[in-house]
Amino acid sequence: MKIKNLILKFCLIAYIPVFAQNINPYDSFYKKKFGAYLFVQKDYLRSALEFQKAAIEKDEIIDTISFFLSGVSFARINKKDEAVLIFSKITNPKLKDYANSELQILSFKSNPEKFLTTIDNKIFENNSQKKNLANLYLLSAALDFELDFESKIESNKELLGLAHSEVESLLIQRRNLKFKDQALAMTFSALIPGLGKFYVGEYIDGIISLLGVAGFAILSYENYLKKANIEGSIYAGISIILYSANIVGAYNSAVRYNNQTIINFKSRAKKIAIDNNYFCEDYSFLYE
Amino acid sequence: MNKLLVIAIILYLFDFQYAQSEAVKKILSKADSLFLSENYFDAITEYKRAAFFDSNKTVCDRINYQIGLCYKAGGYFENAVEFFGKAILSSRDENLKLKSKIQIARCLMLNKGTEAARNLLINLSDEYSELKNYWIGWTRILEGDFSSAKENLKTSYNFKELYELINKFENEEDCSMLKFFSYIAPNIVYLYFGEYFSFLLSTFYIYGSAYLTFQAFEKEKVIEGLAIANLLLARFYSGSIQNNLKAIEDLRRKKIIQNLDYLQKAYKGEKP
Repeated sequence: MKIKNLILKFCLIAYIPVFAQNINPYDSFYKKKFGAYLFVQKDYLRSALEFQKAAIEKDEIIDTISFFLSGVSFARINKKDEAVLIFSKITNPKLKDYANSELQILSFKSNPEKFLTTIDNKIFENNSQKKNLANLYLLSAALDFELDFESKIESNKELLGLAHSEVESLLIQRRNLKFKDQALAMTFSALIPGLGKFYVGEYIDGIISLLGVAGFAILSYENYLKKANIEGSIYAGISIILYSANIVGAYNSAVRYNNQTIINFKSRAKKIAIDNNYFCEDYSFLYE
Repeated sequence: MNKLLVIAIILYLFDFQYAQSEAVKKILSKADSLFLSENYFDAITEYKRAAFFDSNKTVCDRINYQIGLCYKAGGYFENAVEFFGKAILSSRDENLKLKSKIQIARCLMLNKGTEAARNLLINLSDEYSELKNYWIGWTRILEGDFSSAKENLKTSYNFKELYELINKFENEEDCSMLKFFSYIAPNIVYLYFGEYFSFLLSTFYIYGSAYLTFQAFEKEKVIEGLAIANLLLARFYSGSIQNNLKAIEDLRRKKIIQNLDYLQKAYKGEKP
């Protein structure tokens, strides 16, 4: 018994330094762990390279998950060609779904407004990532101001049930967006100088326009009454210029107001997409 | 047997820690050599690898500082600031904390944040007043405010070389006369910049509207005079002043860039 114990002690104590000397930070196991560490830190270029080193040995894929994660890392930094090349070699159906979802996110990132036009409705069939894609679809539908928003939503009504709460509130905001009619703003300003600006909400500009046009018109009238025709003509010219500028200004203000409304809406939509990491997976279940 | 197992596990843990620290040392030495050979991308990867293996966080302050230096050298100032900040938070070494703060200030200076850099430097302890003055001086230099920079740099004999260079610049930078003339006769300043057409237009508008204003007041048309003075004369006058001040600022900035270029080559001391 004593001898057996002694042998066991000897083996244990002898084994430990051997193990200690064998920690190799550059072997596949640690490379994968380190890749995941970089992935969590969002240092995607380095994580892609590290996962790739962990996944490939002598031109052969030895670790599919690391290989897939290298593709995801490339996708996250918009390196589409590298990501597509890697994803094309993925055969696992579950990973394939994730890969397609990552490519859709890439497509959304490159042109969120037109993402909708690139998507085939078949993609939602039997897709484990249906919920994530549905949110991107709805965001894109809301962002594209050239399309008929309601008809696009109607054609894929079942996706509304999958909408994230923030996307849902964004869609409500999209329905209630109010724009200013440029023609109406111009007409108002033509009738009463400055009224178009009031319509758009630029009250101080409206008052200045009214005072400018009316002031010079009165000066011109007074000068004509006093037979000071040259001065009267100068003031009449200034008044006409200000009047025309007031109409053009009302049009520009309405355009500016509408653009600003769209910009504010788009930036909120994009913020929702970024804050929710484009509704993609964090893949922690693959490397933890 | 149980005792033996416990001893073995404890030994294993200690030994594993030892192995990890050995691995960190090896990685750090590789990272340092990459850093010295200016291969900053790979150096950052290795420093991060060292941080990954440094589970006890024994050298994480040094690692963060080095990563900050790599990012700074690569021109990624925001990332650099992030890592110098981490170095400050993770370090107990006052010297490293001070170095990290100075590096943050230098990154801010290089990233158009001279005011933020100055605020950071001002809050440093007076113990390091020489260092403070030197880098605050640099924030002023980068802003083109050479007279304030001189005030900071004259505090120590060690800054004599830089002080003398700045002293030379300050005289060249004086645009106050041009600014003065911009307010007195804005149309004339156009001639200084060679903009003859703008000079003609500005002269016509300013003197034309001044004439109309004068005429109106002469005929005791006070409201008319005020209207022309406000809507035409004041507008053309202030427009010309603004144009001139913009041109002067551009000229000043151009001179500052020339001087900073010269400083980059001529000054051998430490630069941001």
